[in-house]
Amino acid sequence: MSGLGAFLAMGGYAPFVWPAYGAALMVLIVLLAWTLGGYRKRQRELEALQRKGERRR
Amino acid sequence: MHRFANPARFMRLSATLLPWLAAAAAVLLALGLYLALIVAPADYQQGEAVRIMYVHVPSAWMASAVYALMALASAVALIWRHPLADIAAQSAAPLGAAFTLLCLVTGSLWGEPMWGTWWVWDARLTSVLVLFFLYLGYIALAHAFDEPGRGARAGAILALVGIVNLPIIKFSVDWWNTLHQPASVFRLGGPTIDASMLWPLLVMALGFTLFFATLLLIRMRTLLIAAKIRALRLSSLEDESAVIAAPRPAMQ
Repeated sequence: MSGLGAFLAMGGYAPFVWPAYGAALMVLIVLLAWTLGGYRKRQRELEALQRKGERRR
Repeated sequence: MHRFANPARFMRLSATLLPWLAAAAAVLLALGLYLALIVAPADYQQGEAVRIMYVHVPSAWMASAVYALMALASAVALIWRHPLADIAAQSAAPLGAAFTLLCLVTGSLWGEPMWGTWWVWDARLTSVLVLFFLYLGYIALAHAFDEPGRGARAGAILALVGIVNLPIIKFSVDWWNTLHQPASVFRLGGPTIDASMLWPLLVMALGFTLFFATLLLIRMRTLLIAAKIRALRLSSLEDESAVIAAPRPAMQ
């Protein structure tokens, strides 16, 4: 087998190694996206509230 | 200690720290991935399947370490009413739950080729599953009350009671018969794992830790902003009700 083919085959353990790395990548990406999304949403909410407060004064 | 308790100071400090933390986490995770998949050797018994270790063990360490941090923050919140402690515990909980889930999934993927089973109800696996449910219980309790302070207090007590599970996880592989292998890094007498595998593992674990620290700070900032939004909404509500309740000028 060529270098890349052998690497992807993981000595026959490909069906276990790659899903494990895939799960890790997915968990990290989902956590990051969820955390950043929540942060930006709250930031926008606060800015909108502060603008409203200034208009009232 | 209380110098950092000031939320305004925390917002300033975390803003300076975050870009560095995030960059270091990205570099270490990339380096860790390269070391784990390319540089580290195959195991003489497990072959290439041993590479699952480089994601399984860091997520397992994070699962316990984040819980310890959450319990510590809960204790500080209960005893000293430190204004950031509740926020730290609540920010850590979903991150810890995610790491615990990842630990269980990767462990299952490692167990099937090595032990011939995805799951066994032995002490190590079961106590980690209990850890996962402790996280979920904490999150549910913290959100179960209309008044956020009461939820945080109930959650903090659960987090402290649940800490008894941590030594059970750690020593389960010594106290009971289990398929799970015993500790090979944090043990008396030093690590038994070879340096060629230990280094990739430590780099990956540090990458996971810094990734967690980055997200923890962002989530703490999010919760502080949310508290500010609540306070602003409350005060504007009071303004409006003050206008309504104010006695009308008498017609004269």
